Amino acid sequence: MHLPEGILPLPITLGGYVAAGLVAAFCVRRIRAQVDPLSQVPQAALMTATFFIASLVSFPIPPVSVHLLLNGLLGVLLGWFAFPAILVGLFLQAVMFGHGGVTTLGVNALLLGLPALAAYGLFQLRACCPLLLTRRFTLLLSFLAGALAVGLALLLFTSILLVGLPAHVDAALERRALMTLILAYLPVLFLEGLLTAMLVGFFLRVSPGLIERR
Amino acid sequence: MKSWKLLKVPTGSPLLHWEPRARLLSLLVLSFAISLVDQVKLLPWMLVMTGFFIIKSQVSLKALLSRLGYPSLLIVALVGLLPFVAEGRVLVQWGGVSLTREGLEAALLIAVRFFCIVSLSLLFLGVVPLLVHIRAARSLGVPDLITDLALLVVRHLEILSTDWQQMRKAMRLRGDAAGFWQRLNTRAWLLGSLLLRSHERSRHVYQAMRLRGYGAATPNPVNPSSMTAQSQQMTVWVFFAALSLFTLQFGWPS
Repeated sequence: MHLPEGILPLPITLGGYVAAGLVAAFCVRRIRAQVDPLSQVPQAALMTATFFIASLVSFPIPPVSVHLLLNGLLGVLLGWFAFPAILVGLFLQAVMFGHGGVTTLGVNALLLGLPALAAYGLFQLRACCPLLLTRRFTLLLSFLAGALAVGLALLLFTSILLVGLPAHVDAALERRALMTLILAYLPVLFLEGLLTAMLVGFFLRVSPGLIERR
Repeated sequence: MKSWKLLKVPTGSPLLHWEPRARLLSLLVLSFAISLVDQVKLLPWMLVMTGFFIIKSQVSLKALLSRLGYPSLLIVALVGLLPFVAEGRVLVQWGGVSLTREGLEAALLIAVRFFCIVSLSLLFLGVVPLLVHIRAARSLGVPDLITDLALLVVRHLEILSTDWQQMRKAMRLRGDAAGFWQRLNTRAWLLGSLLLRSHERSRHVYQAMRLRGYGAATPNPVNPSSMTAQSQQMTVWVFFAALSLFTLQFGWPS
């Protein structure tokens, strides 16, 4: 779900750069405000590499092909680091494989990074009420966070495409094509929710520190 | 560490000796100038301009085209469909399918913009190691938190993919789990183990980097006089190319 070069007009790509820069700066500020900000860099790098590899592997759901996004998982495990991590992952994908693009880097970072931050916000609901800090509730929140991130990314992706595609495209056909894409990504939404919950469950058993400090 | 250099060019190529910060900024300026174009009349000029940089770089056209294969797959469907799904003046009609002028123009614009930007990105960024760009981004003011992250990611990519292959092979040799849900669960646990293992390793690598003084030195400010003549020449060429596109786009008689 990466927007390639050449499709979007300049105001959207340039606006995307500015907005992504502002969000990244805000996230970096929040990270620096933490007690030991650099200690989380290795984990963030590791998750970025995982995001990088996962989103390059596509699998066909006819008539389109989809790939895992893992932005929800990044949000849950990395918190404020999720947005810079996605930005870095997208930059490397654009440079190394031409996946996404140099001019669409800002827009792509927004459409995957903002849902990741939303997933983090949802996962943080655990902190609101100590009674809800049970394993079952944590797993439920992880599932919802993983699925929400994919759903929001899909929503942003289709909205940007609707605005950015040439005006004379048959509107009904355009809507049908986007609906096909949304339907193709519905299994991914469920799968990512499940994968996020499974991984959080694994970390809770093996290394709870990775989850608890979020 | 692997250099992730995508294209090989002769040692005399001006692209190899281009100052990294100027290279990054030039690519951004030129790419945005190309994405500004929305007139079909300017497409030949964009292709000539891209061709000029391909010739100047002395890169093998075969190598460049082979690198374009993967990113092009993503856009082929859109460009192929657009002439038939757009509304406008019909050029040719076969039964219920009609090819429109507006659709054809939109598809041409997208295809040429895509080809030019991706080719220039590959030329400008693919001929030197990835680490050069990360350092350049750092000296352009990108926070060290982000550049450190990028450096570690590059390192992890090799380790992670090797470990993942090994773990999957080991699982297959042990018989692996049958059934979709069991396999999904196994894969999730496998991924979790891989992440945990690599996390410990990455923490040690990062601490070693910090102890060796990584990130302590402040980057040098941009000093145009330190740029070689070749560097300056390339930057000026890019500036003129971007300016020509800008002028033609807004100065073309309607």
